[in-house]
Amino acid sequence: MDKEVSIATALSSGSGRRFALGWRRREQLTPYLFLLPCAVALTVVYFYPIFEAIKTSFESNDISPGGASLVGFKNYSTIIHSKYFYQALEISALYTIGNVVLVWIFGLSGALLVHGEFAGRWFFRCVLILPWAVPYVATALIWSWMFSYEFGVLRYLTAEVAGVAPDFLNRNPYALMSVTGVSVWKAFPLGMVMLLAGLQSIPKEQYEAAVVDGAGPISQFIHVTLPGLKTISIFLMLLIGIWSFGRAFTIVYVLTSGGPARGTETVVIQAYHEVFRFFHPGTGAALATIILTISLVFSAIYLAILYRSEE
Amino acid sequence: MSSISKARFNRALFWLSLLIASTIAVFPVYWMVITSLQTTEEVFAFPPNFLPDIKIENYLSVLTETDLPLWMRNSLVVSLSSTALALLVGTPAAFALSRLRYRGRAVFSLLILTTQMIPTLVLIIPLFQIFVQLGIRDSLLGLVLGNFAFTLPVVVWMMKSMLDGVPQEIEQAARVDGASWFQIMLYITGPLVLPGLAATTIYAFLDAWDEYMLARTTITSPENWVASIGISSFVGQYLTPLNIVMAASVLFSLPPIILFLLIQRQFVAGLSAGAVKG
Repeated sequence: MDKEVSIATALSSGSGRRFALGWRRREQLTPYLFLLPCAVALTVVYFYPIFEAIKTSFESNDISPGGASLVGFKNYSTIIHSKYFYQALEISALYTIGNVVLVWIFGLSGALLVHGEFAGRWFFRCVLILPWAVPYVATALIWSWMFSYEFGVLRYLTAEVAGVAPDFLNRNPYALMSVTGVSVWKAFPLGMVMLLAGLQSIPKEQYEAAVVDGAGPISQFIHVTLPGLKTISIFLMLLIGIWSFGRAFTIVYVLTSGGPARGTETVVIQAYHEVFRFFHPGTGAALATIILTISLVFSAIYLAILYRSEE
Repeated sequence: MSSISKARFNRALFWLSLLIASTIAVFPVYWMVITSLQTTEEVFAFPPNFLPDIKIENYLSVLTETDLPLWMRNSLVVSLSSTALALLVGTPAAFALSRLRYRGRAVFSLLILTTQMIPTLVLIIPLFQIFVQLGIRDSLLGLVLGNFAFTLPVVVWMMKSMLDGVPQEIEQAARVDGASWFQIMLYITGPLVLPGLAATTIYAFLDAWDEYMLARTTITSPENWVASIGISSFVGQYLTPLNIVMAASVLFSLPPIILFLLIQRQFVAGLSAGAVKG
C-alpha cells in the first residue's frame, strides 16, 4: 500500500520466512478483528430486528406468547384498504415536504448571514445553532407552553401583531403547521451548518468573474451561489426528507400524539399506535415495513448520488 | 454619496435580519428560562411579562418535590454506559474504515450509512419483543444496549471522518519500526484525535440523553424512568405548575447546551465532513 510499509515487509521477510508469513497473516486479519465487535452489534440491533419486523408483518395480531400465526399478506391488505393509511401518508408527505423546504430556506438564510466577515460572527453562529442543542423533549415542552391557548405567549403575540389568535395545537390544519414549524426550528441549524460548508467551498474566483461580467448581488446569487450549493442541497434535502418521513417522532408525539382528530398522525405515529396502543403487532410491523421500504428507496437515491459525486 | 447611503442601508438590513434570525433561534429558550424564574401567578398573567423579576425558588421545588433528581441520575447512568460501550466498539471499527485496506470495506461503510436511514420504529417493535424474552424490558440495561446500538453507527462515522483528517506519516514510520496496527491506534493516532474523540463522546452522550421512543415503550416502572420520559409526563397533566415544569426542562437541557457549545467547532466540522463527503 505504501512504499515504507512494503519496505518494512521486505525487511521482516528477510529475517525469517516463517515469521514473515505469520506476521503477514496476522496483519491481514487485523481489519476484521477491529470490525468484528461493531459488526456483531449492528447485526444484533439493526439487521436481525429488521428481519424480525418483516417476519412479524406476516403474522396475526396475537400478543400471547407464541400465539401469532402466519397470515400471509393479510396485514398489508388491511392497511391498503384503510382510508386512515392514506390520510397518514398525506400528512407524512406534507410534514416531510414542509421540513425539507423550510429547513433549506431557513438554513440557507442563516448560512448567508453568518458566512461573511463581521464582528461577533462566531457569537452569532453559536446563537443560531442553539436550537440544535436543545433536547427534543425540552423543545416539545417549551413550544407546548408557548402554544397554550389560554396563556401562551404566541397566541398573545399573533393577536397583537396579526389580529388573529389561532389555537395552535387543537385545531386543524394549524396543528400540522405548528408541529412542522417546531421541527423546522429544531432542524434548521443542521441545514445552516451544511450549507455554510457548501458556501465556503465555492471558489472566490467565480464571484470575481461574475463581477467582471457586470453581475449584481442578485445575479451572483442566482448564477454562482445557487449552482455551487446544488450538490449539498440535494444531500440536505434527501437527508431531512428521509429523517422527517421515517424517523421523526418525539416532537409530534409529545406535542399532539397525532391529534386532533388524527390531524397530525403521520405514518410513524400510526404504526406506533397500532403496536403500542391497540396491540396489533402484525399490522404495526406491516406499516413499519412499508415505511422502511419507502425510506430505503430514497436512501438508495441518496447513496447513488453520494457515490457518484465521490468519483 | 448615494453609494455610501446604499452601503449603510445594506448594513442596517444585514443587522436587522441577523437580529430577527437570532430572536427566532433564542426566544423559545429565553421563554423557558424566564418562565422557570417566575411565581405561578406571574406565569399565568395575561398579557405575559417579557422581563420579569427573577426568583429561583422553583428550582428548589423541582429538586425536592418531583422525581427529577432520580430521572436525571437514570439518564446519566444510561447515557454514560452506552457512550462508553459505543466508543469501545466503534473506535477500532472507525480505525479499520479509515486506515486499513481489506475486502468488504466499501460494503461495510455502506451498511453503516444505511443504518442512519432506517426508521427507528422498525427496530423498536422487534427490540421490544427481544427485550421481553431476555427479561430486560423494564430495565436500564435494555436502554443502555439500545442506545449503544443507536449511536454506534454515528460514532463510527464521526471517528472515521476525524481519523481521515489526521496525517499518516508518523504511522508509517511506526510501521517501519515494526509496530502493530493495534499499538499504532492506541499510542500514535489515538492522542492525535483526542479532540475528535471528545466531540464524538459528547455527541453519543447527547443522543442517549435525548432518546425518547425506546424509553417510552420499554420502561414502565417509575423508578426506572429516564429524564426524557419523566419530563414529557408533565405535558397535559396540569398537576405540576408550568414554572416547575420549565425549571425541570432547564435542568434537563443544561448539560446538552453546555456540552454542545463547548465542542461546537469540532462537532460541526466532523458532522459536516461526514454529511458532505460521506
